[in-house]
Amino acid sequence: MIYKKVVLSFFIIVLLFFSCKADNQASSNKKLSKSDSKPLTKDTDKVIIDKIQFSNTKEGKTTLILNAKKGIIYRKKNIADLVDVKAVFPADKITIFSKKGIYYLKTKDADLSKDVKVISKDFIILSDKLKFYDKTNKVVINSPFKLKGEQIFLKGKKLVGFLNKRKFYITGRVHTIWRK
Amino acid sequence: MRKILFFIIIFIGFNTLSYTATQTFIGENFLKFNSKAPVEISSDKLEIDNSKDDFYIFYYKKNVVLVQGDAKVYSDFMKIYYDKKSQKIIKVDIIQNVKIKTKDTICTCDNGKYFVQEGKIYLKNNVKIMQGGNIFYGDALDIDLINNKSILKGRDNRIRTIFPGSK
Repeated sequence: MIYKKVVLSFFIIVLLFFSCKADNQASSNKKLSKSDSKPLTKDTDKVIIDKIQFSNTKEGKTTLILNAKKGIIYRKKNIADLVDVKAVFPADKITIFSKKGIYYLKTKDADLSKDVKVISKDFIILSDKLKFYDKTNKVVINSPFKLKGEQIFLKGKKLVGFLNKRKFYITGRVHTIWRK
Repeated sequence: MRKILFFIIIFIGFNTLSYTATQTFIGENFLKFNSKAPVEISSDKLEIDNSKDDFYIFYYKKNVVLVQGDAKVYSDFMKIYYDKKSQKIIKVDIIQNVKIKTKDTICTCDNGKYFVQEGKIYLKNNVKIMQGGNIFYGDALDIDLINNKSILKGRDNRIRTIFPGSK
């Protein structure tokens, strides 16, 4: 009789142990799940979104599609902090990659930083930072950059590009090597 | 009809007589470029125009220096026409205060054009060539880099040549 009680109580303890472990597992899985939006803390100003996308349109046409692996939206500041960004300008056939970015929800501008790579049909531009201004459809690089093409290698310090006009202005001493 | 013919003849005659005096320089040392070498260009400003479908225009502004092999070209402005299909430089417009320096020669003029693939340079207006103490003046200079041939042209028989006096 005592033996049976001991065995039964042992099984109860084991069952309790495993059920507690399952509960912990379930609650941690909730934190990692890829649901649409979830407040990070009790403070609802911050919202984390995985695989976030923004798109800018003008006169019915999409001017920019911005994707990021992860975004943290700060509602009070009206910005989204982005990681692993890919920005596509469909009309200009330009794609920009960067490791970090900030998207301004009101103005629809974007700041891209860290390993910024601009890819067009004929050239690649490498820089540390890039700013995009939606209103003027302007791209600005305010730090040293390199431009590479099939036959050209260029180094500059500052670049301003007007995507609508398809013109780019480089100021500061610029050095170009043409392979001919 | 006769009047029309008369004016046509005068017009053709004027054009053929435009450069009445020419002097031909043939030799390796006259404005020698290594036209196969890469072209390096520096300037204070650059404008890239992608609005044309067939080519890019790279517009170099202020203190422009072009270096190709041993040759250096200085000017106020330079326009590079870069063909999108062939991905090659088609033409270089060299604008204002042009100065070309090679090993033994300095050449100045107002404007020039360099057809990179063909290896030909055309310099115009107030051409002055200084080579080994000799000075040549003309209105146009055509340079064939591949065949090492240069032709200096002048209007109204106005090619002036100054040779230094012998000791």
